[in-house]
Amino acid sequence: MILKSFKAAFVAGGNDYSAALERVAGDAELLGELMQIFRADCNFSVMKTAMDAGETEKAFRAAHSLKGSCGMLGMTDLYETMVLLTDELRHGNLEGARLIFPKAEREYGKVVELIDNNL
Amino acid sequence: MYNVIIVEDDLMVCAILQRQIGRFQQLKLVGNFRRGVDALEWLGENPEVADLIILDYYMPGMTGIEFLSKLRESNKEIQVIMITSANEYSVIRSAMCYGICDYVLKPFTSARLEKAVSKFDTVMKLKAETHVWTQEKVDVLMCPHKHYNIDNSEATQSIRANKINAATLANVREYMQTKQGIKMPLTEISEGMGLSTVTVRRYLKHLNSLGEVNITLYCKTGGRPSEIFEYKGAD
Repeated sequence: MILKSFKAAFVAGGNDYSAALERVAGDAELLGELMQIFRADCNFSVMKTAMDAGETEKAFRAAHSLKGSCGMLGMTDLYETMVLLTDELRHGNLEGARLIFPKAEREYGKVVELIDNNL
Repeated sequence: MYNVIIVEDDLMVCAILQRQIGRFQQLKLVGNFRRGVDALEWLGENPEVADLIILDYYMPGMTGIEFLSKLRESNKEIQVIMITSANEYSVIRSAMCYGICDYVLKPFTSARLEKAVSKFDTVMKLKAETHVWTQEKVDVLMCPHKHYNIDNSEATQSIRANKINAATLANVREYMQTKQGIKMPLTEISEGMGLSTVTVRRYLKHLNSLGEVNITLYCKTGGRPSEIFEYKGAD
């Protein structure tokens, strides 16, 4: 169930609520469920662990999945950061990806907090 | 009624696709697979059931292209719409070589998915109704996107999927042409044009996709990376 407070906070955070809602054909309840699925998803931690271990391919797959999810859910800043990070990992540039990672971690933290506080 | 299967490993995207497919009265979801190998096995056991496959590219065990390669060994009729965030030309070209109906990039809009389904509709109706293939019918088969109901005037004004306005694009291109060969951060371009950074970045990314603008990362020690833009010119 999507609460008005979540929608307001989501939009205030610079995210694209209307695009996310449009993708689920206007089903706000489904959108709320998908936000919870995103919250429970482990791809961010898998990506982080893989990057720390130097496992570029594994990190890329997790990053790619995360990019897809946050893009579909209208998480604008996180998505744009993940586009850059995923591109670095796709080309095997772990050092380049590590430079972008702190921003990805901040943006991910913001959406997680938003979901935790409002859903 | 056309039977559809989804081949997509991401549960969230799958849920969205199921919801979207439910909007189309002519589509019926008959299968949902996380792995390409499972979908191929089902298709082998259920020949001529599915009319359409909604297919991802990056999947565990088998990519979408590998799936297409296996599929086309035994089934050249079934239509495929690829829905993926894979935007590498090599992947797109390979998919086209295996005869896909459409290629939709994630994150997709409902409108773009509607176009893909309309293309599929056009092809299926044409195949069902045509006994003698004239040049005109071949042309429709080759370019089904030219023969379904779209608002052409709007399509010429802007590229809706990317929210790109033709006039603004021309202004950004013109500004960047005056700075050709100069590497600039986003803020400098935004201030120079009097447009927001969000807007300018969207248009610069579009010009990058056209090959006109180079984007590099500038990594200061201790700071977060920033994007640097340089106009290269059109090929």
